[in-house]
Amino acid sequence: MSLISALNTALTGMQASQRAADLVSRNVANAGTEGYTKKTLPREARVLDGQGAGVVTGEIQRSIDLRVQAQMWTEQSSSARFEVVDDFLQRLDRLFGKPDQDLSIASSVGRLAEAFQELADEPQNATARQSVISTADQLAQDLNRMTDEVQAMRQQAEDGIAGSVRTVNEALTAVHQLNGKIEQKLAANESTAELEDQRDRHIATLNEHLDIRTFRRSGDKIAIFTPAGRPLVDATPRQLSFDARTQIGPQDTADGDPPGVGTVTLVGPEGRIDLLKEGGMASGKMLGYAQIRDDYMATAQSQLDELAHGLALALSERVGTLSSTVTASAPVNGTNPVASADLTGAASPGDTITATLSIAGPVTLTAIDPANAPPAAGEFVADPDPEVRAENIRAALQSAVDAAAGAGEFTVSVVETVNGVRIAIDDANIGANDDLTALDTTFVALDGAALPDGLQASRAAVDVAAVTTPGDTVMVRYRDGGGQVRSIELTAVADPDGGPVPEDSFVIGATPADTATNIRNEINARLSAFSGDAGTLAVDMTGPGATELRIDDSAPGAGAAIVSLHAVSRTAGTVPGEETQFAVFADGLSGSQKAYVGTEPLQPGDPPAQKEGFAGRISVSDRLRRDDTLLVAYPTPPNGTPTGEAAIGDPSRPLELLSRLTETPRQFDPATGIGSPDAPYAGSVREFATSVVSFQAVQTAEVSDRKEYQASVTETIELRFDRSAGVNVDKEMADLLVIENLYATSARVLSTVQSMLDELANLGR
Amino acid sequence: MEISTYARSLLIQQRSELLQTRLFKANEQLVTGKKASQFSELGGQSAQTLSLRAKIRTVVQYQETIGLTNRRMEVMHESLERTNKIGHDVSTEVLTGLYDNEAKLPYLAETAGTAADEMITLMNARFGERYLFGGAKSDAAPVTNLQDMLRGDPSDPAGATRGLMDLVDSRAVVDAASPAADLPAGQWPGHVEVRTDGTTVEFRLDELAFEGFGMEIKELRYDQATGGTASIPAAGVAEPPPAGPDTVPAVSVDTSAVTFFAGQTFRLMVEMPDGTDKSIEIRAVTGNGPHDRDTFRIDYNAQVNFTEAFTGALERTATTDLKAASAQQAATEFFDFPPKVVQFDGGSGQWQVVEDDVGEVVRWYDGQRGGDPRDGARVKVDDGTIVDYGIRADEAPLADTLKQLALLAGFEYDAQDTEPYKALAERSGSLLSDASERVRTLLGAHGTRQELVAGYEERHAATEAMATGQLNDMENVSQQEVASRILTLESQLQASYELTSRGQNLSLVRFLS
Repeated sequence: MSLISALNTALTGMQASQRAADLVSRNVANAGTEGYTKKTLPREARVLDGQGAGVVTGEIQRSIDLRVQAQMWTEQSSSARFEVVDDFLQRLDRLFGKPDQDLSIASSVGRLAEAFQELADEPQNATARQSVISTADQLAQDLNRMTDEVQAMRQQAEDGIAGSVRTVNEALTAVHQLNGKIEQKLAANESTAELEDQRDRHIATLNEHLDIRTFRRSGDKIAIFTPAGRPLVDATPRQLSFDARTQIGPQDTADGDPPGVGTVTLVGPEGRIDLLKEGGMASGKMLGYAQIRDDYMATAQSQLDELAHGLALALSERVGTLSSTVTASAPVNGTNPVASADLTGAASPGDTITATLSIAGPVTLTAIDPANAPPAAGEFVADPDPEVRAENIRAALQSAVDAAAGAGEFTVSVVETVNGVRIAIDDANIGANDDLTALDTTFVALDGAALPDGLQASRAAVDVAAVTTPGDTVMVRYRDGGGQVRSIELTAVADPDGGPVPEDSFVIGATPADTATNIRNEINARLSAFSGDAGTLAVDMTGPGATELRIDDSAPGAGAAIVSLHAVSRTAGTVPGEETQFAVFADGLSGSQKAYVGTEPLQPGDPPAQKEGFAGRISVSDRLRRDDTLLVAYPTPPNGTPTGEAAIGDPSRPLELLSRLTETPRQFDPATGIGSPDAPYAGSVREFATSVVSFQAVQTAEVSDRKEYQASVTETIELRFDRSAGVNVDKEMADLLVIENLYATSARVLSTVQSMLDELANLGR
Repeated sequence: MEISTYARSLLIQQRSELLQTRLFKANEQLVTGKKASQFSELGGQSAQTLSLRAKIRTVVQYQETIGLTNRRMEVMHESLERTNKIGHDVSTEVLTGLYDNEAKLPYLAETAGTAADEMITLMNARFGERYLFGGAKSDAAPVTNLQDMLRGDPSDPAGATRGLMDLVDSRAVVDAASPAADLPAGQWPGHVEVRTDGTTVEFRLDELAFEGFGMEIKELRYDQATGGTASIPAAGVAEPPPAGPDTVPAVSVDTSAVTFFAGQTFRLMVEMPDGTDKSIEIRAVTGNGPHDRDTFRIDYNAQVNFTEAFTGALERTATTDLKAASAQQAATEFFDFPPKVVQFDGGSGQWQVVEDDVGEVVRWYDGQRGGDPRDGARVKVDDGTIVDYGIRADEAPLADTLKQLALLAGFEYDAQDTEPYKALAERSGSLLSDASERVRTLLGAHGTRQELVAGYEERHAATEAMATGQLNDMENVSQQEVASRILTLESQLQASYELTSRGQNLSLVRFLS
């Protein structure tokens, strides 16, 4: 040991302290720099010839947990995708307005329904007609505007992908270059910490945009692969290419041939790879943009198109009979008018039952308490037992009717049904009164008894002579004995020539009467398929050509109620007098419109389905704009005999349009995501519009929730990573204190050695 | 936990931002009173709120519709009630004039005219832009004015120059409802000729009588001296040339075979053009001096007396009852659609009742025709439920009321000879009373429909209240809840700021000098 060696040892201590102080200053200076990792300076005792000789510092190193870092990148990549998707969906959701402001597309459909109802109240009112047109116009514009917005968002997503591709390409190049620099530094035994930080920042950027996998190769190089194992950076860097489109419309889809939107391709020895379509890609902004462009917004567009499609067809299709929904008229059984009603609700004393007969005044019965029996004329005992009560009503009604109209005119009887007991009035003596052509019977049971539905047996009839073309449909909606509404929708198909008839179809026969027979058989088969409904509705054909399909629910004991019957034919001009097809909506801008009939491509090379992007083209028919009386007047009256124009005060057409908008069930394409192929969504156009808005709302809410969840996962892992790699200024300051002390002490040692050496020198004088 | 300085400031910043966002949202909720500002914030509930909102809109619209319909039905109700009262009042007036107070008779036409005018106004009632009694054709007044109805419209460009009374007049001529003196040769009052051939007296239709015109002879009845009534039915006899081999109904009696006695009655049963039956009656009397009209004296000249009495009775019937019945039939033809007129057909040489296909007759009614009148006005009161409540002026009870009022107003009243008018008033009075009753029935059925419609309004109001309540529960925020949340958030934010400030003070840097 010598003073010199002590001097040297103190010197190494001071040098180490200087380097350490330098590192602290770097750490502190970068405490707020994103992506900067905390650096450490390894130090160890210096040994010369087995003897301690001070301290030596190594190369600066990063304080980092690589496993946590890799996990953090994965989560950040997921977050990035959710943020993109959520951002777009929120914007889409906001297009529907605030819930309490009634600005959504569903409200617009509702407003059109209101306008129709107002028109039905005052068909002769020109203002009401104009109001329908302007409301329909507004609805069409809403659909156009939403289409524009949806397509604009798809375009923005396309631009987003283009931006991502640029960023990714820059980052890939940078990673490759840094790989090289780090290798060189390592060979020169220099610190690579800062370069690694830089490289990590680029890898983080890559992760933000793309789902990638990283591997460490020898020489601390990092190789980057796609989830499917395609190298992006390994021995050589690869680049992505993207043929961005500048004008994306509803027809431009990723599935098209060629695709209507840009494709992200990776060019390599394997050829051109569609990066986003290859399996395994699960995160990153680029995927989020692609999903917005090809899934979310495409679905939204298909829903708008389906809504426009339903609207246009519902309000324009020709139906054999305009007023085909007969729900509350007195039924006619053969030539013998019968009306029946469920009167079991009239159970409390004071309830009244009124029957209005065409040849006498209203007959009213009042229920009395059993304690007050026997009943006087016009009263019946409201016995708690429904069967006894029904018999009481029957007897009282029979004598009241006899008194009013004369004995023998009407027969009142009790009819057993599934739900209880109905009372039927039968015009037993049809020939006796020449002026009696129909029985007008209305029952009013007060005190909460169900009113119109089921009160009267109903009949719906529609002439199916116009049903001649495959694709034409016949729809029946009825309420079964249990009160559940059921729909039967049948589609016309050409004769399969011995082959099987597809499900829910009927064959177009040689004559319209044959077709009607096929329809009847098919309806009966469907009724049998719904267990317990066989025979509940009587289906038969009448009319001069036996082409009028007639369904009534007067079958005794059934308890079923017919709700509506529609036959829809899409062929133009096959029925005399139908050439002037009426349509509220048409396809195309005003001035260059064509009829919307919903054509579909049947074979390759056909133009795309008319439905595609229709929401962007739907507009109010020019013909209707020119002549708003079309909303009211129609050339063929409900009974099908052309007798000139219907009167301008006739509400039949507005009522029909209203019911087609709000009641008539249609099936909607399950490709919209609403409904499934096995159970397609069936409902009115108005109901579908509501479903569209709530579908988007629920989807946005779900994505938003998942985004929040993912954000919290990401935050947790970021904090964990930060624990190892972050700079804590307090800790750095504490380190600085130690370094300061070490330096001071080493300096003290130096000064002590010097004084000792001086001492020694003086000794020799 | 050891945490980097950068992460700490980032965390503090993020947490404060989160709190600020929540505070902003809570403030927004407090201001708007609504939980959500976009549908996704309602999530799964959005479907329910949308359908509730649609439900509310629908029932509100139904209520508006029903309100409008109620007012319309009320106007219809009042019009019908008034029509019913008019018919009833005028029929009472007619009966009073006929049987109690003849002084009223001269004024019946005027009374009926006023009533007809009023009824036409009632039938032309409008509500908004809609005429209520014209069915679906609601853009024009359904009933023409009384003056045009009675006498046609000379200024009508289409040439509808003939009215009800013109038809009555021409029908009266063809029915020969006139005294013998006014008739052309070969025609007898009511087309019934009384012929004498030896002791046989024959009543036969004259050669100008045509199917459906004048009086149709059915049978002759008389009391027998031995008791009981003899009845001789009409039989076809060959018509004399030049009319050819056609047969005409006739009934003849051999007076020599009849024993006349005082008080004996002879009745000639005839059918009038309007389908009613009439018995033309004479009675045998004895003794000298004047005897009543429609009696004949049993004396040496009994057969001549008998013939004269019947001739006189037939002439009076023709100018009174037949004239009234003819007018009724003409009115029925006028109120038909299209109206029918009597017209001579040169080909068959017959008078015929034909439809006015040239439009020379005024159309009294210009509303919707055919079909069920109830369908003329329809209201949708609920999903799938349509109530038909139309009533049309051309419905039998209303048309019949107007028909009788118009006849009473237009039929000529002759103060010198009130008999024809009385004959008409007698028929019209009872037909009017009957029509008026049927208007009441119409009114009753209308009232039932009014109640039915009103019932729906109540139900919709209840549904609206319920749905609004549910919607409020789903969409609205509780002010207290939001207010207390704001307080909590504010204190959290304050605490967060406080912590930030203290955290900064706790840096080691501050303690090193």
